Amino acid sequence: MATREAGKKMIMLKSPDGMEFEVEEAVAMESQTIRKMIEDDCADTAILIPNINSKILSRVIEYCNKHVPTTGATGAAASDTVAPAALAEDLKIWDAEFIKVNRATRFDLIQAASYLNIKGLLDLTSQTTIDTISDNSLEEIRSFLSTKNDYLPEEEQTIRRENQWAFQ
Amino acid sequence: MVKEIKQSKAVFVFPRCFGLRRATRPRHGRKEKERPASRPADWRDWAALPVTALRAIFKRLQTDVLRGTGPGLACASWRRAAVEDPLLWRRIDLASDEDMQRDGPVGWEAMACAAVDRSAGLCESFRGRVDGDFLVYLADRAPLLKSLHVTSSFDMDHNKLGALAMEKLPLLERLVVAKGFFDERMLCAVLDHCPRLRLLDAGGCYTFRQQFC
Repeated sequence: MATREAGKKMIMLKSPDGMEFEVEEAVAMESQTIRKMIEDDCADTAILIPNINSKILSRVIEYCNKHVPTTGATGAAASDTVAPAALAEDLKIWDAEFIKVNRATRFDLIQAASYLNIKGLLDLTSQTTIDTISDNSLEEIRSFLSTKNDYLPEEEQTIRRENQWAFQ
Repeated sequence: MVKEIKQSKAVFVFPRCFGLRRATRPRHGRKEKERPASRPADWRDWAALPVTALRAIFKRLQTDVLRGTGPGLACASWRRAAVEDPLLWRRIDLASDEDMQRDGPVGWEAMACAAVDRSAGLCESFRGRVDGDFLVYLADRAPLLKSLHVTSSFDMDHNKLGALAMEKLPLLERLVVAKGFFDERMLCAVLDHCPRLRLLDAGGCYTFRQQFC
């Protein structure tokens, strides 16, 4: 249920495995998908978020908590005394720590960020994925992603033809 | 029973239409299934990342995707996301450190044209090497273009065709030309045909007075 604590509107997020997270509305609204639901007045009580289990949802909330603009009561003291550039640097370091997760968790975070439309988290997770795989060969990438080469021979031919300018 | 109904009213179930779409449907009869029992618990189907996630990955790799290198070729569904998703090409950025050199790398124009083609008319922003012919090509195929950032040197010939191109870019809001020649004809074309222009940066360019306008 939405409640009020110290003048802040709270939103309840529920994961499909039955966990409930009470978060400030501003934090939940870091997700554009949730923001739209709140603005459209279809989420004044609790929001069930399927496909994102409690472990991942709690990490996503942790991210949003950190990244919510610190104009309110929380973190206001920090933003008053610390220069914006230092704050951005602090966030960068925090992000780098946050994303030190295993491959499966990163996948789940990308999926959650995409689903909940959280641009910062999507940028962070996709950039980290690129950093991990960009210097690898295709075979290494495939083994990293646990996917296989599923092209048909004629498709491979087409790809080669299409990209001929690269080898001229 | 009554209690259940009340409960279901209190909880807003996230509609599936909100952004959660299968990225692409795998071809070749490969069916989407639950994780097979033989897979370890941390196995994930990276080939089936949502399309928005793949877009976020590939928009950072546009040059690789065009060259047909990099992770875009890892599997068929990733390649489809890289090639067939026009929204990936809404913001085209092919700028490189070599853009200031007189001659571009072999095939740069073919690559740039391919990127514009893939945007299927949705391109809103282009940044990279440009010449007169390419400008006309871009203007013909990107009627929604709002931002154009030329990172190569502009010359007299480019101005002639550039002025033609401006006629087809009524939504242009931002024009940045890094270096080169920017004449009155070009300036007049921009002023006449781009009523939404908010930024024109040709500060690094030279010009001389001509009686074109």
